[in-house]
Amino acid sequence: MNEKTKILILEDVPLDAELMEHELYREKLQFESLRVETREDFINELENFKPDLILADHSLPKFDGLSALKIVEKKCPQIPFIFVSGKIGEEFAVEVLREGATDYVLKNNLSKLVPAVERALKEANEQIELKMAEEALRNREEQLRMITDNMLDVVAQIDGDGTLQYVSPSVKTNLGYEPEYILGKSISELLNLINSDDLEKVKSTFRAVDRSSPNKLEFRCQHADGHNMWLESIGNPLLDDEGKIIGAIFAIRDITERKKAEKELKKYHEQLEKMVEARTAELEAINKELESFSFSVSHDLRAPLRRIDGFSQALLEDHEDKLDPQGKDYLNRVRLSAQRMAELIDDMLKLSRLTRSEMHREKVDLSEMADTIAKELQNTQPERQVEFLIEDGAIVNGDARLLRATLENLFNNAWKFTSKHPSARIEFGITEYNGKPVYFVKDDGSGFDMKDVDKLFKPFQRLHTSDEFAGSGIGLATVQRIIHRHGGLVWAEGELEKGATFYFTI
Amino acid sequence: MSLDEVEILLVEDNPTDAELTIRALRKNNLANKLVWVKDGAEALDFLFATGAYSERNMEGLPRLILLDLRMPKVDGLEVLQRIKADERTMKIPVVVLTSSKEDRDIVESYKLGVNSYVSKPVEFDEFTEAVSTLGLYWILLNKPPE
Repeated sequence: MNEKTKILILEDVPLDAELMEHELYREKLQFESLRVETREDFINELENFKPDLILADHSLPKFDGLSALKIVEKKCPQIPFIFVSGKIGEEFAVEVLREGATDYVLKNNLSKLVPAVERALKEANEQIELKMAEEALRNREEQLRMITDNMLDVVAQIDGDGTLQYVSPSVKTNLGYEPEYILGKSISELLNLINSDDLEKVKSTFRAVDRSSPNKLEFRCQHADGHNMWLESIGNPLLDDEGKIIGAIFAIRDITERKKAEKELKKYHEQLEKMVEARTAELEAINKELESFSFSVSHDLRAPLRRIDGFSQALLEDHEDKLDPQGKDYLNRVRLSAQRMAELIDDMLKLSRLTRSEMHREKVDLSEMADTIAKELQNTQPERQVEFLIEDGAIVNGDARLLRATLENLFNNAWKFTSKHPSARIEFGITEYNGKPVYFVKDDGSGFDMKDVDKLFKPFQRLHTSDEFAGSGIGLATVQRIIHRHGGLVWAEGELEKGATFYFTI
Repeated sequence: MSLDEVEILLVEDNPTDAELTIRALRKNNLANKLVWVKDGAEALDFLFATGAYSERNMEGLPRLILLDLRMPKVDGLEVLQRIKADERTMKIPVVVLTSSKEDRDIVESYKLGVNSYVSKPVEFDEFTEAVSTLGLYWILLNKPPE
């Protein structure tokens, strides 16, 4: 101890006190002392000097040790009290020890003083520590109790016999029962509150508490007012030092609202699933119908066209002598129309096939694709002056075949609509919109009027006559379908004779 | 022409289409020994000398079969399957003629062992050319395996 031990000496003979001090000095005890000899001083110094230890003579002229001991026992029992006396009878010694004295030392045997003092101080210290530990434990218990008492969930503890030893007051707000109604009851008495459908489940879970922990359970239970409620409980076994089960603690929560929400959710989910199923079946049926429709279009519409063409030609060949030039011209126009219609049918089928075919997503390098397409286009008409600008690094996740069709259509359009200009520039690039990459194909060709922008993507809508630019009018409709199938968007900007730009996202 | 020395068996349910096909073949002198049957069932009767053709000699088989796919009663794919499944007829080259451009027909025909496939173009010149080329190829140039 760094601090000096404060020793209050109750002694009328100063020399005796000095002898004691001397003995303490000799043993190198760090202390300060104060001598008193009256009752009044003694009581005052208990307050003022605040001694750590009291050494008291047995008999003084105006006071006595036993009275002093009684005062100390009453006011501050934690202070060790040692009698130091000339002579002390065995009976008296027993009495003072019973009264609470820590020890006694005979004046003629002062060598025992220091060990006695040291022992007394040590014990006193231990006492203090024990008290502090007890205090801390009590505080902790208090805190825990406050927590359980104030919890929204219900906490319950049972002992080894299944008797409820504790239930938090929240049992009133949760289940409507007064804690007193529950406390002291055995679990088996409370089972009748549990919904009969869940009883077996509760029992088996309860039995399992001692085997596996923690143990979670959802069950229905009756509120004090009679209505049914859903509870969730988690049980943990209470074990003694040897690991033996001496009870269990349960945390119980009202989950009625959650169950209700879950039920609602499940209902919605089921409804949604049914709707999806119905819709899928519907779509499947439509798809099937579409497929057989395409099939019959492919087959049945082409056959008569072929006959028209075939017999027109037979007529031209076999009865040439009976036809004047106008007649032949009419027949040729019949043939051309039939052939044109066949082309339209083929394009229409292509478009419908695009919507039906399965998607195979993979990593696709659009820049590389654009480059290849540009080269192919240039090869078709090497004499044309067209500058291609292709930006690198347009890598997307999509169906390569479909994306190739998209780029081909956009590049073909750019190629076609720049054909009336002596030189042209076609650009493929990447820009950004709302933080997402946007790809574009831009040309400086004949362009279009922005008022017609809505017509661009409609199948068989054409902004030009066949004499101006050839085409069936499904290219951009195809592009739009492909991009939509990829979950992307496509839009266009243009100006007459200035060019057009087609943007898309994937 | 005896039914036993037929060179081409044309299986086609539509008389107009049959007429056009025959006309295309005739232009290349391929229609001289041609028999036209109107559906799959008749085609099978002819080939296997059953039903109305039970008098026919099974030995005299056509050197080429032009087969339409969409037909009533027994459709083209089934006829094809029966031809290719029978040892006596499996070696006869079969050219499927159809208006259909559907992939599944083409795939299915090749699975069943078709020798060629002509998707009939609307333009008659093209059709004539395709039919004639194929006819010439199989009849004149391609000797059946002995």
